Amino acid sequence: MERRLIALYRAMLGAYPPELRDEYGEDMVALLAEMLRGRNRSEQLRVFRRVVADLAISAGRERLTAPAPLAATAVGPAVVAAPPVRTRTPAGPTRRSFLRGSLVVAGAGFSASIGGASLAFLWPSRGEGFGALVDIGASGEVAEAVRAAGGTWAVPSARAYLVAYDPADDPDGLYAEITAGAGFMALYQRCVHLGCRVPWCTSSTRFECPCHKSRYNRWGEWQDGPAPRGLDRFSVTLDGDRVIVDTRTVVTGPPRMGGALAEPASGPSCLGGA
Amino acid sequence: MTDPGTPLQPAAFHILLALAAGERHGYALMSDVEELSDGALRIGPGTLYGSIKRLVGTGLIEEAEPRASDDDQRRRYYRLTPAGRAALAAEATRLERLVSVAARRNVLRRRPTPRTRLGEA
Repeated sequence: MERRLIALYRAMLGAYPPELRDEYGEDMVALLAEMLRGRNRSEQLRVFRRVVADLAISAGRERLTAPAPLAATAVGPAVVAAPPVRTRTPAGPTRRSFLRGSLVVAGAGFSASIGGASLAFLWPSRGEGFGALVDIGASGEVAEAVRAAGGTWAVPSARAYLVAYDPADDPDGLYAEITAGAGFMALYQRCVHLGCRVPWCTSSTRFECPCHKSRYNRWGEWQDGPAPRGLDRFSVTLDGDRVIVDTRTVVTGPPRMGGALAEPASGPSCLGGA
Repeated sequence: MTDPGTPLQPAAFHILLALAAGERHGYALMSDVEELSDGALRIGPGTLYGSIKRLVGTGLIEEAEPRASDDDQRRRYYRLTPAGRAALAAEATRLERLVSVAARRNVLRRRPTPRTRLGEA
């Protein structure tokens, strides 16, 4: 990611006039590298967008002011009249060419920034956080956290609920593949109806969507409401002792009637009325 | 731009101001500029090196000797020249004059205006 953004930026330096690029191009690339270092993916993208916006503006400025008019050597006002003074008026840009130039450069910079950001998003992530392999913790600690949370533990970094999964309750092995012996199932917190985040209701032992009252049991299987299927989920694997949630791929939830767990609601709903 | 009568570009002024405290390399300059302006002026590499090029070209700053101690020896350090210090002082004086005019015309609100207590005229 970092390397790709840097490579992209290096390619975009073509927007600058060669005099600046030759002298300072490598410094600019090194500076971007320093700005990106040690930041997470989304911060890097933000930094990159800002740098590209700056590129669009400053490249316009450099192109239109170069070659720089010979200025008086520092503060001594008397030394101006060196023979080959290039006067700005004939050689310099006209108002029209200036505007046209800045429009072109700004447009190019804008497209490059959009393109760059899209590419960066499309690239598979090997970084951290949602969209990657998320390390939740050692399996003992995760088991403890799930127990302490009453069986459904919200993990924001994976946008998931980790729920206890006992293969004995799943005789057909419906979820065997996505739990891989880890003892946990990872449910995507997003309602499959219209995308609201679905909270867990302790009294009814159901996930209950506050938006349109879709309800799911503790394994995220559809119970009632407008949702077309059970909650989507992620594969969980064990890497040694570490519990890993693979948020690179969303596993589509089970069909409405295709669940494994038959547990009645234990009490009143959190949504009131329904 | 180097004529003491002409205002400096904001980026150039901030760079000179940052260098007034000592030699800096690119990244430190960029961070200093942001800090000096309370985050109002965030310059990217292009604006930074464009300004550096002009400031070097007009003799207001110069490249300092590379530092052997630095972990990254490709870094280039910059410092003010005497001319740069003079231009910075001229610009600061110009701004100071403007600020004092602003103060005389009650544009500044540095302290809360004193309140009159109830009962006082």
